[in-house]
Amino acid sequence: MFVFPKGFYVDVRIETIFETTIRIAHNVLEDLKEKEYQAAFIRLFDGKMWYYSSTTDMTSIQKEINTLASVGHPFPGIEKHPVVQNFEVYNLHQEEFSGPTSVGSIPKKTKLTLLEEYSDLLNHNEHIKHWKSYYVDKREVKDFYSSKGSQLHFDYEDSGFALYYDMVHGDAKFSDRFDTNASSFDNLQGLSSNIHKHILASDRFLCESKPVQQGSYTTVLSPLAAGIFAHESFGHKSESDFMVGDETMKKEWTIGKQVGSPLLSIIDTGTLHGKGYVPFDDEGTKAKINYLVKKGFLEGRLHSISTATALKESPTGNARAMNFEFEPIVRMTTTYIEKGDLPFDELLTDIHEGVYVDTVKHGSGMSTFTLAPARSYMIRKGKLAEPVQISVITGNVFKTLKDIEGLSNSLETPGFTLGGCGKMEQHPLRVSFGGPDVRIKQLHIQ
Amino acid sequence: MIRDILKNQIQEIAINVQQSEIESIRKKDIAKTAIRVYDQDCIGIASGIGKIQEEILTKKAKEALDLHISYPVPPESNHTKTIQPDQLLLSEEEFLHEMRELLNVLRQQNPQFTFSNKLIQQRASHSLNNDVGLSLSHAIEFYRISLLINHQDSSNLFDAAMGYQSNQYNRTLLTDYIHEICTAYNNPIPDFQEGNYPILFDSSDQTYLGKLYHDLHGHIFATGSSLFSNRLGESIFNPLFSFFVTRSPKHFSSQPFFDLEGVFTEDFLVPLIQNGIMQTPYTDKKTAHKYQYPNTACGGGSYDSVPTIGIPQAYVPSTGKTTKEILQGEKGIVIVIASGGDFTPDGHFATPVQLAFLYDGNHLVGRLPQLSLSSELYTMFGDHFMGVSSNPLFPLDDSRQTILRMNVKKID
Repeated sequence: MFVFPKGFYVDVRIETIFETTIRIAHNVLEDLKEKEYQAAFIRLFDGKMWYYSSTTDMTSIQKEINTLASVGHPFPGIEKHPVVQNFEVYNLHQEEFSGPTSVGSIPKKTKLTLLEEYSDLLNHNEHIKHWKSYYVDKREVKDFYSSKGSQLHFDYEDSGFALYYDMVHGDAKFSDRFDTNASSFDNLQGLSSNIHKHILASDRFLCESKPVQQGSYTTVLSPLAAGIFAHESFGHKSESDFMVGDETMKKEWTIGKQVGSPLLSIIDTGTLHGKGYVPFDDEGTKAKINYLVKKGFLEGRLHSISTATALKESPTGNARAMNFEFEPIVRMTTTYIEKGDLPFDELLTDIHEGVYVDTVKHGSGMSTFTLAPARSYMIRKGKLAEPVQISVITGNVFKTLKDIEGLSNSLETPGFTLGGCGKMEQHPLRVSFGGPDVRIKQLHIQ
Repeated sequence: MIRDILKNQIQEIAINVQQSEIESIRKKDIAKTAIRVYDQDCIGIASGIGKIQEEILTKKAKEALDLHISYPVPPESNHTKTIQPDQLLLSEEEFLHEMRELLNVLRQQNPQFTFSNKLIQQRASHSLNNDVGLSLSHAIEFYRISLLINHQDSSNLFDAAMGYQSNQYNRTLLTDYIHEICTAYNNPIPDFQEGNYPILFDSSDQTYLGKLYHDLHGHIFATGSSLFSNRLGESIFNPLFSFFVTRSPKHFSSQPFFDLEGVFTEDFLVPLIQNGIMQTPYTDKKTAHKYQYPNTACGGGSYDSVPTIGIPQAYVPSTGKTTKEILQGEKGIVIVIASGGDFTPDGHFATPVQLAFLYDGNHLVGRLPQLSLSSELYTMFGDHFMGVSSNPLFPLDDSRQTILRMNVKKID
């Protein structure tokens, strides 16, 4: 297909995209577009440096390869370079999402009707003064060719919708959203009851919530909040590009070190359908199930081929690019905390006064992590009680991981329909995150 | 039937830095085109990337009119304006050579630290033309320096950061400032006392402006969902405080002087809050028309979407004094990394601060422990608003420092 110049490792990633976006505001259709395009990203490695080019001209790929080769320095025996040796080689042609159920085959009228019907539920709450709703889907077919012999053709897709609304009751204001997505359009059907419950919860929060009394509380995170916590507080620290060449970090992050409660296991995997489904990463590495933490001990980390080679570990299938304009870097896929064995009610039983974080606007994590809750509730005498307004929840990451004292027996791995994970210049990248309900001994609430 | 042709082109060289060395070079030349047609208060759009055929896209845009997407305002007409950059970027070879030299100096000056992330030079060209006399184009050339800084003894993902975007580049000014950051980082201040301090935010930092962005949105304002709804013309904040949206090339950004609808304003500036008085929410054409607000040229969205209100670039004008004059001998706290903060619906604000420096009005004195800041919207922009500096902290950066008093606690 391509002529790969001698003395270099080269790979070519061709992305064929189908995507739909629908936007409705207050019952008025504001946007509906379907878009299809093809573009490519080319990488060349000369044993010392990488050279990249991004192009929208599919007829120029060979020219781009040759141009990159002209600025690189040929490396005789490049195939024996440890980085090149680590690249996996596959010959595979698979399409899991083609056919009549693919988002590319479903009429846009069907998608619009779905969004209109769900959006209409927002018209029936007197406190909702402003709303916007979005439907998005994306089917991506990737073709990957490498000078080592890989020839991959595979696809993935997801679809979802998000309802954003602003509520007013007297002087009280509250903004909330219902957000869901699936790897199959069919799974977006039949959600009216869930949406209705969500709006009722928002309405109660608007009318009854009071500012929280600042302090430290035993805190229970919902699966969504726990997922964001796992992603922000530990997932990013597991991305090993931060570790390469840094001896202090390598010592700090020695495999086998205890980093959390014995209850805690965190997994990242591209094998699960959803926003984090990545059957092969953008270097052609097959998805794997990667334990980051197992029963409280550091078990692994996330790798590209370069970082796996540098740290003498195995590739994990986590080299991902946001789109054809960018090179793959180490990113998460679906990151979640493994479930425990407690029913939700038992998780709360002996909490005299605590906080339950239900929905979250955003989170972040360095040595201190934060969550900005949308809806939270006090826990009193082992039961959910009145709604409370919280600006941010903060905690030291490692202390919090060690303070985990209970996990519920349910598991959810949602992802945001709009937005995603940000790292450096590449934002948003589609990811999922989740877990069970997670009980933490003490967190600081403001 | 009126037809718009919107074109964006990005040409970029991006150098990736790892462990203070160049790890990779990326070249990008991406062209995107959207064609919009208008008929009977409806809009149809079609788009393509790379080489496109205008006739085919026009046909698709006309077909999209069948979707009956409402656009009940006339497209812009009869404006011609072109802005071209007055300074050419370096050649690819020159840029690569200069960035190697920059990294050499950084390594020599700061041996305890390593540097990573991106060094970019970019040319972004935007044009919008139609057959009713609209002809707008804006080419922007800039450097984007974004470096993460790690101390050799640290196990953090990164310890400090330095980023700016400008059409100006000066190796000495840049390396001097980064050296000042590294020096201050190496001087921890463990005995810092909690209390109420002047806090210095980069004036465009969304951390402290987030509530204004949300509550000044035209729809949210008009439907009563904003804290400022029904307060047009009222004094809501300190008379020293003003909040503008800007598309001015003077307030350097990578966005063109016109919005996605081809709208621009005189001086490319619109006050939303001026001298503490609520003037107008930000709007696009449809919102301005529907609620009879001024059009603030905030039509946004991706290049091929139907324009809607976009998040504008904020400009908080200087109150005329330097940082030193505003601080009046008091020490302030410069916020470098504050990730994860937010407001409650009624305006209470809190944020953790992962990296802050004590500042004496002239220099970064030393590194503070991790902090927690808290305040309340009307207090921080009311009695506790101290001013916006007339001088930047970093000479190549257009941003000024907004100085507000806040409650400061240490994070254990």
